[in-house]
Amino acid sequence: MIISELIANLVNIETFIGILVGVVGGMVIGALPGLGATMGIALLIPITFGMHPTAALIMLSSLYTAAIYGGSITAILIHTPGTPASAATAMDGYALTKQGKGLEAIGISTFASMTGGTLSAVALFFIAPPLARISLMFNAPEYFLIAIFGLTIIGTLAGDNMLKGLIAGVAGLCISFVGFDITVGVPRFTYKIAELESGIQLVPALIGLFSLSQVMIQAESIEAIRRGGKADIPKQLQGRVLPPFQEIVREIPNLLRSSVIGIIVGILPGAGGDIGGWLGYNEAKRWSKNRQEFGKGSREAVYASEAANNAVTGGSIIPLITLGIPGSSAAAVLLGGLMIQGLTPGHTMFTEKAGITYAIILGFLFANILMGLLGFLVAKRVAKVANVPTGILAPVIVVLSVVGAYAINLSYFDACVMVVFGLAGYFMRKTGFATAPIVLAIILGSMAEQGYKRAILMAKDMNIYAYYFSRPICVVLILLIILSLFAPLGLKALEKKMHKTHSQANKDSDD
Amino acid sequence: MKKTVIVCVLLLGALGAAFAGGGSEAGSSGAAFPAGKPITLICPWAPGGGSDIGARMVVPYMEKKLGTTINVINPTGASGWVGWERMLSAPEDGYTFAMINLPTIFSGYLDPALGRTKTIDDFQMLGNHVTDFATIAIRTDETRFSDLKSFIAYAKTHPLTMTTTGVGTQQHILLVLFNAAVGINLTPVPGNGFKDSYAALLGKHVDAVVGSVGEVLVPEKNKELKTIVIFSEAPSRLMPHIPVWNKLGMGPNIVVSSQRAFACKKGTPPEIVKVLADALKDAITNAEQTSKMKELGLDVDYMGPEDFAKHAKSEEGRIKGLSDVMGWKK
Repeated sequence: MIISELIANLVNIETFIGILVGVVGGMVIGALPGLGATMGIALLIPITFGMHPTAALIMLSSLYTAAIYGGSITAILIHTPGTPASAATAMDGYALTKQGKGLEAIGISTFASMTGGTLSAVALFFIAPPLARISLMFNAPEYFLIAIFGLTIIGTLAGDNMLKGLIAGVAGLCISFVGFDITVGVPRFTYKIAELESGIQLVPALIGLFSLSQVMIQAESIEAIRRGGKADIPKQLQGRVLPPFQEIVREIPNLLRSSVIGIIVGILPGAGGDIGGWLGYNEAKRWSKNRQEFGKGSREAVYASEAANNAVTGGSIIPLITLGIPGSSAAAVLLGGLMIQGLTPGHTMFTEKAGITYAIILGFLFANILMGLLGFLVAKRVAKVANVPTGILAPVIVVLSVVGAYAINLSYFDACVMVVFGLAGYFMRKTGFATAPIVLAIILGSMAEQGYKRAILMAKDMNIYAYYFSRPICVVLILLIILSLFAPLGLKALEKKMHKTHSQANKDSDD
Repeated sequence: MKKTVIVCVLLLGALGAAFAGGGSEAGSSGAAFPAGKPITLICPWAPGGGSDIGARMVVPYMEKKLGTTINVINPTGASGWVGWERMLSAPEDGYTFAMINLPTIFSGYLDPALGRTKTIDDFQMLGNHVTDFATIAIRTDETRFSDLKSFIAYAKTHPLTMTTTGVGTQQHILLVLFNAAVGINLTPVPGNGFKDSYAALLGKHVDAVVGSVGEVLVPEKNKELKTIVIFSEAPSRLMPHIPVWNKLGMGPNIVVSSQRAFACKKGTPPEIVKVLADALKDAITNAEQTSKMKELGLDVDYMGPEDFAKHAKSEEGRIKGLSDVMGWKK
């Protein structure tokens, strides 16, 4: 009964068009800076009014996953993350483009995004209700610790100069303090500017720090090239789109780990794709044998952040369908689309409405595969964007950056924020500061602060430390943080020791 | 050749983006308002929440009537005032209007600590959409208390926490009034919207949650939570079985409702106000819209511009009277 209903819902022309519109529209919207999945879904919702619920929801969820993938294309080719979820990809993806391997990087990103998205759809299909229950065990105290755990990544992003990385991180944390204090309800560091009461918005800051600063640095080389200097990016497109089979086999553990991280981050209502990409990246680095390549064009890094950020999409739909609690801001808009269709989240979605729900999930799964196939198909053409002369590309990116920053909330203020951060990013990069720690700290700073403040209130009369240690998940997270902070030191010492004994052994054999 | 194609694609994309975001151009006169120019609707709450869904419900009907696009944007923060300040700083030409929420809007300027100069008098009302009464809800598997009476009794001897949606919101006002009426001390835990509050309740991180009928109706139907009291004048049409606080005689009367209405800037020409208000009336009284809203647990309660302006003024007086309880120092 359910199966025949499911097939009827899934196999029809409306659904097919929905997937196609979602995937293609998502890739375009995602690739444009500023316009992300959240806005794409919001723009499409009015169109869904007259549609069948299945086709409507499949279209919206396809757009979500495709937008996250699309954001990586521009992140890789022109160092302009289309959505915050691709910020982690921009570092190594763009480094690969600079080596002339842009096409290969797009191929890796396509394959990893497809894998992450598809695995999250599988999780959605088989284990959504129990996973959603687990997500409820996480709340403010845990979010604080997750944010702190995320902040330890700054250590790995800092590049060659740890001190400069930490300074950038602290600057980012300070920026995250601007805005309304949620517990007392009083504005801080706003200097009577109404726009600042909602804090510095992430997307304009990100566009400035990554895209605008990149354009400025590239513009410097125009003159040099004119005088006959070497271009930054080789003209020749090297390599092939499809990643080599052996490499895929080798990256299976990385892909699986990153996808699982993405799904978990997606399920948690307090964390979205932006955090998922970074955590996937960081864990890949921790487990990698070629750690020194990270940040300089590591293929593993692209696999990791891309699988993770697309896995977030399916993950964030899990608590949405089962409980009505969206796992990310894009999922929150998706919830609006669901409710407008008369579908109310809850266990009925898996009983009475199972025919619709499972059709949506399967449609989402197909959309991820279609997105991958389409990505491989257009990759060769798209990759040429990287070779457009800077004289043409630079003004286009500047226009897109301004429009993108403005369009999120139709706000001139946001556009100005973008320009300020662009200038700051340019001078930071000129003086050897990494911009990634600032972005990470802006994302995680307010998450940490709000989590900690709520935890204090939730603890009631209990001592806050006792409260933390009374929560098993918190204890695990604290251990993880300690491990991640001190394991590198331990490992280094161990390596040194091994090296010593090794060279000792060599010496012995020499004698 | 191919390069030119790529550049064209990029430029087209930029144009598309500009089109999507080009809502706030001021409309110079000529043809009658809105003359096909896009209008911006500011919903100062997160996308996907009750207010946002309500706003997006009305928009298509208004668009049809006005013959233009309405872009909904969500500048959140400062319990709604980030969005409202945005609207009040735009030209008074009707091309920007906002969803406003009573009584949340009052606490943004009645609390002198916030230093705001704008008040309800700076708004030109267009009409009320929804009146949504506050409730208190607990978990269905709660063992320490099962109804309002046992909840209050337990709260008298144990510290309890209750999630609200931020300082100064309707939920927060209710919590303060309820604490004062019953003589207990529930600690408010602010969240980012009801979805946060609800997740915290289900995960047993807090003991109770303040939510409006529109927020608790669906979870209640799914037996995920149990509503124990409603703070309305009469039993709710959507949840008639929930006990009404004022009828229980357990303390001084409390009525807390949130009104979701629409307003533009004071000083907008009357003929433009009329066009907007009429389009809004058509949209809100549309039978299809009303029944869709009911499914979501939102009770449509249309009030025209004059009626609602009067109502808002009297509500302002009522909230002003609570200054002492709310701790707003002169």
